Amino acid sequence: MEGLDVRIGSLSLKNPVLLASGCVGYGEEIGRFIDLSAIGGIVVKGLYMKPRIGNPPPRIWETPSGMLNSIGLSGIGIHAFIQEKLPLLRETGATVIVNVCGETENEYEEVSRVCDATDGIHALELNISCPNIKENGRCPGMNRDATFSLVSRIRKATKKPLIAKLSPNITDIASIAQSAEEAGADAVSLINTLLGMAIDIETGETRTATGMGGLSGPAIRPVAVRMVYQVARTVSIPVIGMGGISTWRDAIEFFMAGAGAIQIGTTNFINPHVSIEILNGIQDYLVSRRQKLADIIGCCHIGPRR
Amino acid sequence: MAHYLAARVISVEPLKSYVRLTLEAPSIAAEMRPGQFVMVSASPEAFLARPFSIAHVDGDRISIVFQAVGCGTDWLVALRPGNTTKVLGPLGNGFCLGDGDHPVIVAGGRGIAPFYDLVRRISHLSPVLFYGGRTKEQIVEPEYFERFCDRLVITTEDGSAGRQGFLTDPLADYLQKNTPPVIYGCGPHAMLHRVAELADGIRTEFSMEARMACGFGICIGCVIPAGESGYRRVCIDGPIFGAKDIRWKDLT
Ligand SMILES: Cc1cc2nc3c(=O)[nH]c(=O)nc-3n(C[C@H](O)[C@H](O)[C@H](O)COP(=O)(O)OP(=O)(O)OC[C@H]3O[C@@H](n4cnc5c(N)ncnc54)[C@H](O)[C@@H]3O)c2cc1C
Ligand SMILES: Cc1cc2nc3c(=O)[nH]c(=O)nc-3n(C[C@H](O)[C@H](O)[C@H](O)COP(=O)(O)O)c2cc1C
Repeated sequence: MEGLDVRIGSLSLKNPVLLASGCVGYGEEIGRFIDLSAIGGIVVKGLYMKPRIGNPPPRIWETPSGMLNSIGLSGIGIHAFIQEKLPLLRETGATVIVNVCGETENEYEEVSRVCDATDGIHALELNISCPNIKENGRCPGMNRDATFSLVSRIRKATKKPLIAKLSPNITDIASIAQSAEEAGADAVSLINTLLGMAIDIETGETRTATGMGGLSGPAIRPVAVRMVYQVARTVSIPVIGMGGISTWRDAIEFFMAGAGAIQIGTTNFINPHVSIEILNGIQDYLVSRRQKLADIIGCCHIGPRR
Repeated sequence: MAHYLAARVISVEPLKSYVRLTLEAPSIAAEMRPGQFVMVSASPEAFLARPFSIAHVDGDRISIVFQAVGCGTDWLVALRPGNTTKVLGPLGNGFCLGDGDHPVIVAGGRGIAPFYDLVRRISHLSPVLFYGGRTKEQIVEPEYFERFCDRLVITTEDGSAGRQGFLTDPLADYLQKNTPPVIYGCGPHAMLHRVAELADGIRTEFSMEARMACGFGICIGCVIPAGESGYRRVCIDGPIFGAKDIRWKDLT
């Protein structure tokens, strides 16, 4: 279908449906279920310079309409990704976006430079929610200045399209988005997981071994829609929305709130075909209403009308 | 290759403490190997699907044998023939079928599930099955296993069936006199840990469990401590592991 393509800086995505970081590995396993070239792109699991073991188990806990995770950004590191996984991904014809992580600003920059120099990586999504070891575990995405400083630095390190992925664990997400835009980001994506916690009332122990975990899935969707709405009214760069999208209807909601593209995360765990189903649903919706994607982006208004 | 499909329920049968759910899932039935598992969507309330070993395969059908322990398994028990549920599988590595005579199988409680199919496929090797439960209610269909095994040793903690005590007692005696080519195991991790100690040099194939989200490797949630350091995913690096690869002391 025409009119579904989306521009993020210099990158053109064939459609607005992307796979979210941490919810599709490095594409290998999900690629057995779906044609990765049929969707807009895949954001691979967060990558640091070095491999990371991640947190001790238990790492996951089911919640009403969602789940908590404390995976701890376990991953193989950027070099192993490029050597072992990227060639397979390139063969599929997928648009590949790397979720860039760092324990320090330096590490973020190093990973970004490697991505910049590697063919087959089409864009960078800066995960500004990584705990910073020098800042007592605070992540750059928690304040405007740290966001501005990090994004500016990475902007200088890469010519490739740069997406800043925002954390919802702050008071005013629109102001953080604004910092990212001022620092030169080509787009913002949101939301990352919401910090949560669950406790076993028999033992008093937390359900995940690190205490807190990141909440994802339909449970966070209304929060995500609200944040996309606020951010889209503040910035003029594209907004990539995510958080609990499990059907095409959910996706339309995000477009109406102002998202120019969407990512699908946790729902892939339950239905590995879901991204294709959602893409088809979006197309059918637009065809039946004789609309283009651009017509519905940000079209929501305060209601109900009387 | 794994398939994701809506499977029709053929039957739901009580099996003493457990339940057998039989589903029509032709592509999964055609491709599964013993020791592999399926993710079954269990109730609209349970957000994630639940992992179960594939017990039987019969033509187009597969069945799982499970214990009702929470919201998801309770919902599965309430399914009726003709209902459908989503199933993803077959998943995981499965057992390595060796060729030495008298392989030993160790099953604790609902850990019997993956061995329904295994014993059938290796019956020509005259397997020896050690099957333990808390009471006789946890020893399901001994006559089935007797058909495919050379020896069946049953233990219960209360003595209501077989020998009273833990299955590791007769297993220890057996391993003093015999050196099987392999020990297959499935059951509580504490039991498997004890079996690992007894195995001492014998090749082991243990089916491990962990809470799972996806079941096919993408979330990295279901890890256990394995290898010299770090973790492995139960769903895709397992669920079958050699006991020597597991860092038992770090296992929670
Ligand atoms: C590879 C694999 C194969 C399995 N095969 C079988 C099988 O053949 N038969 C069977 O009865 N069970 C099997 N299990 C365990 C089964 O998945 C759980 O019992 C089930 O997920 C519980 O779901 P629930 O919603 O009813 O319980 P919940 O409400 O989620 O939990 C109830 C109780 O079950 C425990 N539990 C939950 N999930 C798991 C899990 N993944 N592993 C171990 N304990 C868990 C919880 O700690 C809790 O005590 C297997 C697990 C794995 C990982
Ligand atoms: C298991 C898991 C791992 C994740 N790992 C990452 C990650 O490495 N980097 C990142 O930016 N976001 C990560 N996320 C967040 C998702 O990309 C997404 O922002 C969030 O889950 C909300 O979308 P969803 O509800 O559709 O999953 C992870 C989420 C989950 C559930």
